[in-house]
Amino acid sequence: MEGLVLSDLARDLILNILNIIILFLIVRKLAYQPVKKFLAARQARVAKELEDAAAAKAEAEQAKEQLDSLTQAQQEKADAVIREAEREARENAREIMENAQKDAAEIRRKAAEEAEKEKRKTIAGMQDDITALAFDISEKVLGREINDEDNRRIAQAFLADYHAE
Amino acid sequence: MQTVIIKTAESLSEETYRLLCEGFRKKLGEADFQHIVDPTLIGGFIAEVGGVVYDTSISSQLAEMQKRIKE
Repeated sequence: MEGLVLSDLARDLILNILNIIILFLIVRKLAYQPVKKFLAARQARVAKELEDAAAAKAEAEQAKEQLDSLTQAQQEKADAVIREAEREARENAREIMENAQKDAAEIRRKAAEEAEKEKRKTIAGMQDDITALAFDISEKVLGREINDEDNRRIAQAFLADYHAE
Repeated sequence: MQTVIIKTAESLSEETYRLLCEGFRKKLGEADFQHIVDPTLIGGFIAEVGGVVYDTSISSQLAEMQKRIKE
């Protein structure tokens, strides 16, 4: 009897082992290869996606660099325009100031000239008035002081020259 | 006969006027004398003989001095 049990056991064991092997082979054939293919494809797909992402990232970085460079160039241009505008404005202001100062100096000079002219005119006028007054007074004084003796002397002096002609 | 026009100041007497007429007569011969008294002359006289004017008046001399001072 024991021999029978052992051979049944061995038989079961062997059968089980065979079942497992067959099952393994079946599963391998039906599932393992497809799954392996699927995983490989998936891995390839993921790898491609990673590659594409890296390329896109590189492209984006390149575009960003170009944009930064362009922005900087534009900024520099704008700065240059601003600097030029400031320089021009300073130059214009300086010119305006110079012209204003020249005009002011000319106005002052003309005003001084006019004032001097007026002063001379006033002094000349006063001198004329004083002279006229002096002569008026002289006429009045002489009118009172001249007598016939003086007239006689004038007449005699004239006649002496008249007869000498 | 020449005409002599003599303008005199008020202060010139008849005697001095006659002296003047005598003086002109000596040079011109007979002449027709006209006497005008002009107080503005102040002193002396102005005589006009044949278009020639002899001015010894004080007023003219003062005017001449005034003119020179202005210049």
